[in-house]
Amino acid sequence: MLAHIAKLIWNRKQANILIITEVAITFAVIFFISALALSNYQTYHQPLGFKWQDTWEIKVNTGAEWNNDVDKDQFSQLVYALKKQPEIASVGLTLMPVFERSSMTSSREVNGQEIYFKANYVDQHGPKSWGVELIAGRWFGEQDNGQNYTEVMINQRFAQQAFNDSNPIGFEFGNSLHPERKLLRIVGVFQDFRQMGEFSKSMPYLFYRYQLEEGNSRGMNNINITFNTMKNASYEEDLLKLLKGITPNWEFTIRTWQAKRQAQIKEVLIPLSVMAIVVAFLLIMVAMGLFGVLWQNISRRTQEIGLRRALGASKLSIQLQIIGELIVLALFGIGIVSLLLIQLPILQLVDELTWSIFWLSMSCSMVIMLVMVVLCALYPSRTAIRIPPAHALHYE
Amino acid sequence: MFKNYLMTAWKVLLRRKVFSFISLFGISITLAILLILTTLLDNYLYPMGPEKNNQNFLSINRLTIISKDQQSTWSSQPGYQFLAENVNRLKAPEKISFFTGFNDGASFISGDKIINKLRRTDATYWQILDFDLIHGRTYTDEEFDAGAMVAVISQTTSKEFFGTQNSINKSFIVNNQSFEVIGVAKDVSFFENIAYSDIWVPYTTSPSTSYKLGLTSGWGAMLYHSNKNMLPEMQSEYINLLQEDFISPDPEQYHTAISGADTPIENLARDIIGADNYKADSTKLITLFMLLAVVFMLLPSINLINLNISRIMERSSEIGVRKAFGASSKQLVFQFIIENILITGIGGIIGLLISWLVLRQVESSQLIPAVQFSFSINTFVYGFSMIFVFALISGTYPAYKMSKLHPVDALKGGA
Repeated sequence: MLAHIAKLIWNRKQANILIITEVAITFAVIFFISALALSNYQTYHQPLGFKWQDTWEIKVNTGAEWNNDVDKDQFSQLVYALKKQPEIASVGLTLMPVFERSSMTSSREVNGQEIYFKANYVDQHGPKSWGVELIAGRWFGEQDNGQNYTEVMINQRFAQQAFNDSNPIGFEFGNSLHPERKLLRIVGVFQDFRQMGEFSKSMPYLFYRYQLEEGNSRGMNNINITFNTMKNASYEEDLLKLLKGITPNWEFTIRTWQAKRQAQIKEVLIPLSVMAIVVAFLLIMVAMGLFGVLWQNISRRTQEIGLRRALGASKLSIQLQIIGELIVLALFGIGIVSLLLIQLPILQLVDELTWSIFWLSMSCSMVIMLVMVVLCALYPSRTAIRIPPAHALHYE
Repeated sequence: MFKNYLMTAWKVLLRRKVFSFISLFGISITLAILLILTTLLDNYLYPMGPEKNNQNFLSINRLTIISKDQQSTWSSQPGYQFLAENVNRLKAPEKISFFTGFNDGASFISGDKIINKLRRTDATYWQILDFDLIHGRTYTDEEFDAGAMVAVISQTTSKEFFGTQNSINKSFIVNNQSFEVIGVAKDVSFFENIAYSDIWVPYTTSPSTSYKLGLTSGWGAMLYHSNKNMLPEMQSEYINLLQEDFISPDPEQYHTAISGADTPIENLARDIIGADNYKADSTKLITLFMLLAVVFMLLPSINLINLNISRIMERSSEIGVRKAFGASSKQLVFQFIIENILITGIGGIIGLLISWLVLRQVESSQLIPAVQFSFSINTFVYGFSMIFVFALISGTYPAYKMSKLHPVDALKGGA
């Protein structure tokens, strides 16, 4: 049956080529939008690695580049003052802020593998209070002061990529460009810390330790605090006064992690939904176009249909023929585009497009496309069988 | 003759309402989307607010610094030190203005936190940009030099702080500093990214002088000349200065500076394509936009071609008659293209209406802060040229196909 229909279509290839092109392009468009949505959905549902509820961020703007000799002491004063507040449960530091696009990327040779990772400076208390989960080893802390190594912690993905199943704890590695520096020693493995938020891919991640007493040439940026009881804006005003009292020449911006997270989600969802709306309109347009063309074509084949009816074909088989024809036509288009699209994961042109996402969005768009095509064919196929065979045979 | 064509076209349009609706729907949605995008671009390139004289100035808002061993690269907005020691030495511009980007400014009004955008500028800023002041005035060079705690605020911010009362000479606190209002300006659209803010104050009022250090940190500059033909000379002088005579606090670490003085379109190109060139590649950007527009129009065009072919074939007996009575292929093609332009034109007008409604909706939703879209004459020109191109693309092939019909076949109604 399908082979026969394919032959019928082939005989009318000139008339059908435009419909096939249209289906092909539409299919590609649906594929791209669903791949985009699926990959975002997948990343969103991976574990974030930390809790964002009830934490406030105080962004410190020193107004110029960090001068470690002076600034580290001023910064410590801020931290001590905050820790003294009875309302504040914990104070943690990060150089790279959470739920923002900015990040620190490096690459090192670790255990014979070149690893690209994101890094961050945190103090030893911060990650614990944000619910970062320790999986192996220990947290860095005071016992690492003054040692002949630089203590670091890595996330699970880092450990997997560099060490597979062997134990990373205690492994030391250096920077080949700067052999004079102390080696980095891995003291612990944590689950994850997707600092750039739910829509960022999980990458190898590394924590350096920021020590209040020694500071750091890169400086420090964000003080993150949690509370014993939740606070409101008027407390924020008091807090700003307190901070300004200690370092009047610095500026502070306070935001909750929750607000930053919401703003970031909005930033991802708005363009995606605008795109989805545009694509939806395109689909409606294409559907109506197909419907129109099909309707027209059917009315021109009234004679052929009448002949089949006269020779004893049932109404159902005629309806099936018309729907089947359009499905085969659509499959032609889908097939051509699929051959092109499959190059993307094979050649790994787009990192985000993994095989699982490829097959998922492939089947997703296939279903959408076929449902659309069947819906378009339904009404014209009904009109086709409504004409009595005797009329149809006389039809000019 | 022409009138006849239009009459026939109109009758055909009314005869098959479903088909006409389908065609019109596709045309109007496609054009509406393209029109919305061009209006956004047009509003960015030819703003109606304070930056309306943007043909007379260039902006510097990206800077890339590379170390001598090429190991480290910093790419960010320029810092005050860079501007003061390098940009300040330019001879060609008549006026040079420095200002910060817009940052969050927190204020507390009866226990509630209010975030406004705060920008610190010099006094030249007000001479270059053409702000629409509702009350009061802007700050002078003397006030700027003295570090006077004065501020110009936007209409909305004035309402937030003081309600409907006149806010001139009243004080407010932002980021723990108290300022006196000396002027109230009309709200500035987010699209005018040099002028946009809620509160403007002299940068000499910064809490400390540490802003004076730093090659890359959140500042920007404008180079102004009253003769717009001088802009290329200003650009090349700036590039020359950076290449030949870049003053750096540490020539080992901060060795090469790459930056450009940009027109609005170059600015956009620098943001989208890449910042690491002296000259931003605006031709590449325009080509990119064109390409995207064509790709986007491809699907609706094929759709319309399909529909048009069906519509024409339905009229094959009419065509057969006309051919049999001696109409040439050329005449028929011409007729059909006219018909197609008519239907695309109707769809285009609906598209214009839709885009107008959508943009009004975006304005009132405050998705983009304080934005006000204006439909300039440009938009109409773009709109109608798009309609024309669309009509030609979708009409030519079906018309060509129709003209090739043999009159005998056509009379029989076959293809």
